[in-house]
Amino acid sequence: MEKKVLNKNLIGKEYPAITFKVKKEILIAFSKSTGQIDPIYFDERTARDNGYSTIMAPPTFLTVIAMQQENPYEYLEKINVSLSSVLHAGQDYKYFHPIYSEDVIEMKYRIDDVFQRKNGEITFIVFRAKYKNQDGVKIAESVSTLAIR
Amino acid sequence: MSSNDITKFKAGDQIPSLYIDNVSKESLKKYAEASGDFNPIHLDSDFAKQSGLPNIIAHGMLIMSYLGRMLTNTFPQNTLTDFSSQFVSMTHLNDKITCTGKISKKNTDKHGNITYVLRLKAVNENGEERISGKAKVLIRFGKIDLN
Repeated sequence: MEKKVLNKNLIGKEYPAITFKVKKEILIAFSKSTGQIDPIYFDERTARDNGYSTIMAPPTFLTVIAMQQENPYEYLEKINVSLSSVLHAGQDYKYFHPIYSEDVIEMKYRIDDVFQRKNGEITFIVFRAKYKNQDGVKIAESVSTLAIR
Repeated sequence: MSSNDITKFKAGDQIPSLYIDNVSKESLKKYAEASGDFNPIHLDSDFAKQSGLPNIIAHGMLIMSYLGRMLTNTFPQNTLTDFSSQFVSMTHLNDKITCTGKISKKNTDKHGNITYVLRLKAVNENGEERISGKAKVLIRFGKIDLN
């Protein structure tokens, strides 16, 4: 088996912040692709009638921001871990404020942990991210765990 | 659903479930385009098979999104404070997914604010668990404050 060289030295590694404009089309496409039909995710007026400023991002939309990095797996490639061996093992979100259409979200993230299970057969990498909007309001935090087979 | 109804759950109650009758190739393609996650293990059968999988597998986040949809079908999204998933097993092509949520804890504070903790599950038609999840919902009765 190929030796995994991922190690604890990666813990604490910070990545450059990502800034992401939440265009209405992107929000709507995401909501549709997850089968959402509730009009508060598509229609401004319905959203406002329900106490929201405008249409908002559904709970899992934050994953879209994480995918906007030029190459989210670059460091894995550098150490010969192929994308085909990466699985999403866990995802946690804490929500503080809605993400609205046309918001500009800043995501800051780092590697929080690297550990192995099954005698080193599987390596887990844990990313922690914090998100805020254009007004500096804290939006959410996320923890993503990837498993490398 | 009016906010009156959602205050009445008690520990042990199930919230309305959500059924997805087919995790199809088309749904994965649409999700890839909308999310930007073009990992070929979700899209390309040959690539998936070469990677040691029986066929393409679903994006875990798509299945988590179904759980999210189940939650927001019952609870307004601004009441959702925590939402987490463990991707227990891979969701295979054409799986039929049932999402369920059970109130495991209810707390009402002195101001009448209600907190629910929910246990979430996404299982396929053979009862194989794909996601084991958890959510927390806070229903405020003070002033409405989205912060």
